[in-house]
Amino acid sequence: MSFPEKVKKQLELIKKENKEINAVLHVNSQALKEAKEIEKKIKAGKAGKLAGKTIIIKSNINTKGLVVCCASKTLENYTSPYDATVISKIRKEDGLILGMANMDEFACGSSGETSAFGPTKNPVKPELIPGGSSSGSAASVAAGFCDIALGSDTGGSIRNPASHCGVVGIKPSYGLVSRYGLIDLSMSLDQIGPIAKNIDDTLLMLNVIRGKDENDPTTYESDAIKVEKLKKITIGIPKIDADPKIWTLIKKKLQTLKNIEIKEIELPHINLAVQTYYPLVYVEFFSGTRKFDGRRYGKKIEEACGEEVLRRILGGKEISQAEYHGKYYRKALMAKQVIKKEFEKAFNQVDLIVLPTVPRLPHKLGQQISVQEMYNYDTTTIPANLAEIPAMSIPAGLINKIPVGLQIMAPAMQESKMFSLAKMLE
Amino acid sequence: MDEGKIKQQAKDIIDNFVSALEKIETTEQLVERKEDRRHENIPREADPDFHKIMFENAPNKKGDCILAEKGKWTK
Repeated sequence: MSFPEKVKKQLELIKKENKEINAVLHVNSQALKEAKEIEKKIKAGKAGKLAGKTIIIKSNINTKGLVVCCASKTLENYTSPYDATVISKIRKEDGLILGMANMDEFACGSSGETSAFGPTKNPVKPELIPGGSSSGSAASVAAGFCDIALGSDTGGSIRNPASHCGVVGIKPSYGLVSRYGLIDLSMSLDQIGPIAKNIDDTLLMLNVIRGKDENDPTTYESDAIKVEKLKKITIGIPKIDADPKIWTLIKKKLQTLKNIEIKEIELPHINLAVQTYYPLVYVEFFSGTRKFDGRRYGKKIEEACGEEVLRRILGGKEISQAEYHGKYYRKALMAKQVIKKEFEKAFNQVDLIVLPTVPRLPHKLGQQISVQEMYNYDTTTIPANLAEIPAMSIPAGLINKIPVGLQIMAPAMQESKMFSLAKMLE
Repeated sequence: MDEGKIKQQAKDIIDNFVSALEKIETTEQLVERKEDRRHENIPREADPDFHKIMFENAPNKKGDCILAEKGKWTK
């Protein structure tokens, strides 16, 4: 099958099935034309590393000429005037962007239900949530709409939907991938990363988008990420609350490996990750959204957004006003440092850490759950964001036919080690 | 949406979270990064499409200006 034929097929699939799944918000009308150009390069032997791959982008990453709305009425008609650094890199390597993915509004959510344009359904189990906030990205991959998707992960927003949809999702180390052009949720925690059906495609994409970028001063130079043969490794298992059935599945999966030592580890404050995370997110989100005043583009955010976005804005405003006490934001920043140090200490004893991606099975779409319950979805993913380390979710198996993810965490900037274990488990 | 209720809920959540953090013993550390600063002196090429698209996005325009001020300035 030629590349344009493949693209045509996937566009037809989106047209047919997206009405039900609601994973894609906008399709690139130039996709077929661009596919023909890439095909010419493939035939001439001059194509880039992503030639032949179709990609869907979370709707909070600026992609020139496409509507980038963050699944919010605030930016409903906002056409992006420039490419984020990750998009420029994808285009340079001849990746084809098929469209923009649905998501939780402004990445505020863990279920895929807070989009102003309707919830995304889980392609594996349509009655269940797909997870969030990169709901449309993970669902697009699971539904076969594209080969690879990009998401953003502030507290688990790539890994959580990857787990629920039975695909692979990567949160890179803080500083590995440029966030220039990402409409931020929380700048001190956000990372952009890939989602795909297999590890190789996520590795391919991560190698394309990583690297230092002058437009994002938090980025570093990095070496190519490779899968290596691990001789003998020690895997740490932290004590963290999760559904016992999920823990059993994870441990069973680890038993399939040879030459590994499993060690229980102590991360004394890991169970305070959620409490550390939200004060940071509320304040940084409040600050980051002040530009959405409706004067130069879009609408005023407080007048157009949904409940969860408003909660974070109002909470962030409240904290900012009370900040002279140093009670909230600075306290949370200091707690972040403590958790980060605990991980550094743990990685002196073990090579990698394995735990469930999500501590519970996904709820039914539309089922009412409390704010606290929703926030608790991310108890096992947030620690990696606070510690600024890489983490990935790979499928571990099924419980009641529902996909469950196994999460691997590695020391900062040691993605190769993480991918190497993932390949052993694939 | 009841804005007052949401605001109170947000405050309660944060108070609850921060009281849990009181248990953590911490000392403040400041990190100042001197390297990796942006080179503002290197000129960038302007993209003519940027101007065109941003003007299409803007709700209020006058000639070659986007009217982003509030109140009487817009009149």
